[in-house]
Amino acid sequence: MGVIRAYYRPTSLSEALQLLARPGVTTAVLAGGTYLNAHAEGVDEVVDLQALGLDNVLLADGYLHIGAMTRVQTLVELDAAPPVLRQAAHREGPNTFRHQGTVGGAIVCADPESELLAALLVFDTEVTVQTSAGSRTLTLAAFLADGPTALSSGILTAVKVATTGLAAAERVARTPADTPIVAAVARKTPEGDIRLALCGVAKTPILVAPEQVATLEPPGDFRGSREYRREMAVVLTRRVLARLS
Amino acid sequence: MEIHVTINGEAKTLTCQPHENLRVVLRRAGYYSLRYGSDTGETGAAAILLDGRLVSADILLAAQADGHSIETVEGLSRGTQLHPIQEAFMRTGAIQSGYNTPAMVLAAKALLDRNPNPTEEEIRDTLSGILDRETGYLKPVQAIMQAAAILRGEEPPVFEPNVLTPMPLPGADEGGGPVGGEEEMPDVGSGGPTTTATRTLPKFIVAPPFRELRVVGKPEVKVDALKLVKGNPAFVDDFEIRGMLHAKLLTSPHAHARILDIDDSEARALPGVHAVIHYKNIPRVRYASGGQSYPNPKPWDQVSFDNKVRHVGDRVAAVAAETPEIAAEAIKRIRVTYEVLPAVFDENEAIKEGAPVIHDEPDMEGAYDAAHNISHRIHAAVGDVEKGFAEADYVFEHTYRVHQVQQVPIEPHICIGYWDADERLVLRTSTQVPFHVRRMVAPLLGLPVKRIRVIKPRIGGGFGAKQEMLIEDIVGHLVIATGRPVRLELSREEEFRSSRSRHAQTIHYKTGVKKDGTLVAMKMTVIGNTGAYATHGLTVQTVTGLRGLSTYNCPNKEFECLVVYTNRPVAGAYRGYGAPQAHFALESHMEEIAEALGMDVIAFKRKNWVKVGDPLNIAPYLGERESDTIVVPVVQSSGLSECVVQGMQAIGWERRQDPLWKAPPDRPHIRRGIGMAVCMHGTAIPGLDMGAASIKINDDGSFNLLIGATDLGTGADTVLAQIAAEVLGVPLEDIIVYSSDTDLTPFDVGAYASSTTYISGTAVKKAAEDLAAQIRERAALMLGLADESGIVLRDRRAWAPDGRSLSLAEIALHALHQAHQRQFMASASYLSPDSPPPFGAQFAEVEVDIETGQVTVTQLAMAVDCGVAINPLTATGQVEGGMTQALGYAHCEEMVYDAQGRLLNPRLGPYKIYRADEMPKLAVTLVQTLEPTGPFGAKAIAEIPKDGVAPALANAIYNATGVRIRQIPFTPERVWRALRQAGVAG
Repeated sequence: MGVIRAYYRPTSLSEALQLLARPGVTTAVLAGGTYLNAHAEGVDEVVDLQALGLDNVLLADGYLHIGAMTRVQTLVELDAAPPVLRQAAHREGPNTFRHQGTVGGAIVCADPESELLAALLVFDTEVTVQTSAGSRTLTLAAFLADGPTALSSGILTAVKVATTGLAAAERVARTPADTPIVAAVARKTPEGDIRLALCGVAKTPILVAPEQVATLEPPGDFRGSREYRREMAVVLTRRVLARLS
Repeated sequence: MEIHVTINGEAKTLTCQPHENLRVVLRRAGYYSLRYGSDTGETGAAAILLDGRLVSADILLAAQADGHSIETVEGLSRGTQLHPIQEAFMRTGAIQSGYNTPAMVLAAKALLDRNPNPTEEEIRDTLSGILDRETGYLKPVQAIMQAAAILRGEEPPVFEPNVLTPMPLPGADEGGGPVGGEEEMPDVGSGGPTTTATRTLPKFIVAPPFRELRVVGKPEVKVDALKLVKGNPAFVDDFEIRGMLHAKLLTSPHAHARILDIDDSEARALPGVHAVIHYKNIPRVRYASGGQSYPNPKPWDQVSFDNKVRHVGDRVAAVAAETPEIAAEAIKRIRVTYEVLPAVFDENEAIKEGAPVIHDEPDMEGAYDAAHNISHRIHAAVGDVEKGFAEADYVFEHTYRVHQVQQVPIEPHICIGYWDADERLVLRTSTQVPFHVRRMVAPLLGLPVKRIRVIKPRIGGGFGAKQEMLIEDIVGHLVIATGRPVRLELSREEEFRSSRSRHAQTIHYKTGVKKDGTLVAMKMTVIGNTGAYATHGLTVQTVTGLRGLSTYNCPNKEFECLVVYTNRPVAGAYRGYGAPQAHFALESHMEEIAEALGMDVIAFKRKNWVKVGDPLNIAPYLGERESDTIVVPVVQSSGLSECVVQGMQAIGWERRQDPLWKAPPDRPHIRRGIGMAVCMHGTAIPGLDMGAASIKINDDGSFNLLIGATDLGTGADTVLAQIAAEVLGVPLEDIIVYSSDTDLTPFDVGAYASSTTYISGTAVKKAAEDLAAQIRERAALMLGLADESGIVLRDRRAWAPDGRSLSLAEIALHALHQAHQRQFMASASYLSPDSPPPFGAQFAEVEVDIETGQVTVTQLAMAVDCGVAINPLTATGQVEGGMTQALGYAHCEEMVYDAQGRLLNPRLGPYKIYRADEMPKLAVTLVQTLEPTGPFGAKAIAEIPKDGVAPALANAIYNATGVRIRQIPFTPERVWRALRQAGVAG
């Protein structure tokens, strides 16, 4: 920190979008702030979304409609959410981070090791992005694949998550509460389709076809080399799929 | 901008800048209980409740809190009335340094406000955002359990430390007693899940209790607990002084480079900048930064600022400016021209011919062979190992590797310096060694010692990182340059790169053994990586040799060691001081030998370990002081046999042979195992470590105890006060402790080498005994008795044999005001010729996933013979916290570099330390012996818990999988590769 020169807390979405659209100012959206306030360099001004009322959670037609500013901890405690999703939310960080961080913030940060994102991926999550031109809805997988361009000057406002089907998760980490080196989340939909998501094998958590796992080329680091991560992707995939059958 | 908030129920308007975080703004408003742990929120030391939710204020913009309600620990107590959570933290011994105690108390409140009947899992979850380097989380969990019961109106659970009654002075064997015989291995229960059980009292008594004590041996509440649990301003950073400047360091981005030029003109031109210092404007005075006794061991290979940098993070320049932001901006404007040099990072590479020479400066003093990057060669021998190898039936050789880790005290290094009214330089600093700092900093600043005063307030942990004169010279230079008060605090990243760490080593053992398991020769060869500067390099590696060759009897021993410079961040003192490295190698090696001989590992170790009466034959050759006469120390007390028995019982040792338990049929990729390690440490440095104390009586019969000893959270102040209270016959609350201040308190070497209880404690005992004699003499005078013999001090009174008594207040008033007026006071110092070893047995239970290599530690149990525990609560707290640090060392902590020597993980998280919600079950037993040389029978306890976890894990992994891994930490990929190589992985 040390560079933020102005803080805004708009009370309407249009006001927020106007602030973000100003040319010549590097303006960042501030959700919970667990990432931005710790790591952001080069941000001139921030637009805090806390007064926009984006923290509602609604269960309708078998889908969770989650406001982007919903705290991660709310998801942990949400009875209507599938257990694997709640567990993944619990692993998004320690208590303090979960009480400050938001679901929308976690999605935009796109941490490659986020088990929450992997879980959201298998639950067919769609995200809504609001821009001055209107709103558009896209799959989380598409949003993550687009990278930073997915938002441009827009705001991620809502998340829609399926709740049906059977899911399981597996991980390998240095310690029980550490961020995973590799994790796998899988879900069998009521129609019998399999969704598999992995984290720790690409720039973001990804949906991947089970038969493609062995061909992945993960980026290695000191916690796990490319070879190890690929091998773990195979092992953990086998385990999660076995738990669904 | 302004924010409107409610703080602890009061509406407040605070002024802040848009970029400022809430920690900074609340501290400026006087809420000191929020503390700096990092810039990225992981330590939780700055936790607050925001609308009742626990969040980390250092990653929350103050502006985000506008309109919200904030609670800090300052709002919890009303006057002297503490919140039940605070009382429980005090009572259970959950407070060590107290630096993050306010955060833990708030975490408890956030939970209990919502959920009055939480499970242990929920308690551990609420603490998961607060990293603790001190307690191992066990006592905080117990405190919250107690507080929850009290708030529900129930009888709270009682947590008793598991302490065995002292064993008497032993005869032929080591105080064996009714349990602990060679053949008799006890029945044990099975290990459960991680649950915090109410401790039960010991099942047997080894010997009748020795003489009745009233304060010593009791689980007294720490003397500093109240101020810490309330979050009172007690630490260096809580001190405020008008006109204070903020300092910042410029450190090297290169592992090895010559500085061709520094241009500071742009930095100096920045408004608000008061000084920029570097090699061009600071005198070149050689020193060694390790906080050690005079004369500091050579080589003196450092200067305040050099024209060469030797590791990424090495000092280049420092700035003092009106605000931290201006200082940071000034740092960016310093232009440094580097000539980048080739670098070397591995200790084995650095000594090869042609390796880059790290210390080529002509004025360096005292390195063994600087041209080959060898700062020291250490050699010691007893007997003749070659003869021993020739006589041996078998000779075993193994090589072990240990890595570099950081101490991670949650409070980083911080120092505030200023000129006082007498124009003397005052340094308030977070140090373990205030007296060494004063003496060592003086020549660097060009000031006489008499013009420097070093004050150590409360310290938020140190673990050896603060046994160093690390930043005080920079602060001193900047105070001199500016005439203004200056504050310098290292950031968490700087703490990793520019502070100190544990030495990485390559350790080779060659051991000759007879068919019956008798050791006949042991040779230990060590190459120690001291990084860019030697500081503690000689002494840490010496301790590696001493500890690596002392636990087991063997007539022929040899230690050969090179201490090697590399371009890594500097290694220094870290709790354990060379012993954890030695223990990993030794206790792995001994198991490998037992396995090869087909002997039971404990039987093999027991056959060879030192027992009461045994000489420690290599100790005289691996001391820190040259000695004219060689005195071979002899073990005078040992509860080791009993420790092993207790540990076996606690862990469920017999399960390691149970195939169904080891390979659970319902979890085909899991293998379970149990391992153990014998631990032996020292107590202070004999013939060198000196501590002193002075004590005086006040009008009301209370006492001021002034000590140079430095409590860094360990409870040393409490233990020393307990010793004084015991001698003077008063409750602990009548002893007012002050430590440490080079102007006011007597000398003490400081907090290191497990010395405080033993050395400073004996000094306190002697001073208190002198004072007690003065009191008795006055009582005799007042009572008209011919002499004071037979007068005893008890319950704040002096009792004559005839049953008459006087209160200490009456005696004090008489002496100070009424007749033959004088101040009763006494001082004493102590230096020990002995270093009685504490012993311990460390046990670990693991689950190994043979497909992934993931090791899950499910249980750690340790039994320690620390002599008599002066305070069983602080003593068990030392073991729990020490084991937890040792677990990180063995399992997940590591400093990792890229090819250019840049640390890849200078942040908590990537540098992984254990959280409350992932801890294995911890069990601690104190097996008390009576050490004849210690105060009230005490030995040391602070460091021995660091010694055994790594080898116990190695041995447990071997027990689980049959695969021996000779390098730590046991991270998943390392274990997976080892299993795969051995053909075990699925």
